[in-house]
Amino acid sequence: MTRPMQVVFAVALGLLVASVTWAADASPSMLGNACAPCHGTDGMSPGAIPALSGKSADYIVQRMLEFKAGAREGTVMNRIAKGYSDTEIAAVAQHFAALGKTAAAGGATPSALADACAACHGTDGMSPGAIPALSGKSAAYITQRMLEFKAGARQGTVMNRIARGYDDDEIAAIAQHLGNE
Amino acid sequence: MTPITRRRFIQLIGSAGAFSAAGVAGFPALSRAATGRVVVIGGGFGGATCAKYLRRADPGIEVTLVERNPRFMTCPFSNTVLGGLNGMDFITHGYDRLSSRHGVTVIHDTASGIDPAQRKVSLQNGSDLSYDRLVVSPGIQLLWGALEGYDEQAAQAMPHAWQAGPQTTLLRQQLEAMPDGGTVVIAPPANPFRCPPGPYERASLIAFYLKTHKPKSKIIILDAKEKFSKQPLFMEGWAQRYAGMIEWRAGSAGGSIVQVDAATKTLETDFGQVRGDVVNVIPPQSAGRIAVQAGLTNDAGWCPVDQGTFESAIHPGIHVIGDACIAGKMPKSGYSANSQAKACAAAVAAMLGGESPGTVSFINTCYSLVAPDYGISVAAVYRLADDGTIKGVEGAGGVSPKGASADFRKQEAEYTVGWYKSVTADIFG
Repeated sequence: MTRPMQVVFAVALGLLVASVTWAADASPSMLGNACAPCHGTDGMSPGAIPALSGKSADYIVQRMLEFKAGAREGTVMNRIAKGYSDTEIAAVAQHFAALGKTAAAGGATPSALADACAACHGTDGMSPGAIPALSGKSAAYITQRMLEFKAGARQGTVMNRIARGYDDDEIAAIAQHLGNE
Repeated sequence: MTPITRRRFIQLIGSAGAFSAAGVAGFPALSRAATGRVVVIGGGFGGATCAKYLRRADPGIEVTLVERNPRFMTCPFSNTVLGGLNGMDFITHGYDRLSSRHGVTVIHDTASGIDPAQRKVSLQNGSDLSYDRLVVSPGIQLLWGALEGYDEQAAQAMPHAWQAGPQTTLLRQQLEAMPDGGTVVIAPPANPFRCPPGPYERASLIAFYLKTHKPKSKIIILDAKEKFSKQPLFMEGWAQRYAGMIEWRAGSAGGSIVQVDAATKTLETDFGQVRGDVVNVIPPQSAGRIAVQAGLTNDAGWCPVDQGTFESAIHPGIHVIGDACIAGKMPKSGYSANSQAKACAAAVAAMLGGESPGTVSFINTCYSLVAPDYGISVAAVYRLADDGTIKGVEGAGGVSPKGASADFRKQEAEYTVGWYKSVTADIFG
């Protein structure tokens, strides 16, 4: 995706909250490398400051947004989080999550993950039968349902058990792959 | 206060996923082989970080790091040595991993000259190093004689300890030898100087040592300035932990020093003489020697650079980072140097590959220990503004809250140590 397309996409999602007084967006690695003096190289903190490696993107995003909004107590992160747009927070979270995945076993692609759903939900999520279709649903809807299933916050038949087999990044990737946003 | 709704949260995750699917969120477009030779002068917080991150950006780049010392002793945490919390080994780091793990060629020698036209660095051993791009990260040099009476010889009687190493050990020994009831004088310079909160953390940790071992002693800070970094927080901490022990005199209130006498350990101020049993003079500074010698500095003694790439405004092809450079609103700190080094590495890698450097983004957090279990901080996020200078992002950053709980201070103290572990691993690991 080209940079203008990223911007269009971000605007479409209502993510560009404030007018940017700075130049173009910094790359995710440029943003993330500045975190290393506290959180460790690639987020692998060797000391008392929490590591970012191994954390999911949604965890990092949620924490950062809470810090930014003043909804979570912190020492220094309240002050730091306010320096970033929500788009940048999402990008840097994805950066650390992706680094964590690189360190772990090779992650499956979104299509490889989503194709496994087809036996029940139909090819490309177009269920021909009684099982709910995923096609036509938004990524946000799919992600929310999956996270609720995973957390036990939503009743289900089989999906509670299946959802627990995926980390939050994989859920986001599957939702993005199948969703029509 | 804006609560994070679930829907908003999902939107953000969705967008991150979209970036990822498009392959944007991983690494920037530096994956194309950008071969080239880069020489980095100075193996401190700026230079060692830059060498490592250049290799991370592109293993096709040959990186040679020139550093005169076989091991590096960090100024950050040298105050914990003065306070008796750590030994010198705690702040000493080697270069083995930069070479073995990251493929940096490390040469322990002194850069004696730079030829910007021929793109060559000459070493004291007589050899030359050719470069396509040069990164200069020389830190500071102390301006001997700028304060009358304070030269290299005077520093043996009244240590500066502002470049960690033998001077740190000397000052510690003097503190240990001082009798109970003695006076320690600390004399910080005017701005700009390396590590703005450093002198006041130093006063704190020396006070911690004295309170435990020599409780009748006192500390006088003779400051050239009218105010200092994190002042209300330091003052609050001093009142809580070292009541009556630390006296700070502003420049206009007798703090400004006009002359020193090493033989009698006496400092001459506008308001008369002050004698100390241990005297720590932190003299005025400029960019490191090699930067001055190579003509990379302005009239004030610091290096003007393009603040998006750190390329010298005077000599193209040479980048200057860390304490030596003028980086807008960023303070001269180890964290700043580390953050600038990464931006510089990304820019150099892009330029060698024939690409435009990307947009920069920086952080600085300066932790200070008031006591081993009492930490305070100042932080900011920095960007390149439209006028070409680095500025703090408005609404972000700032100092720790005043009147915070003991638990809060303790957690910041733990994070201070955590920062040190992380940043030294990020540089040397």
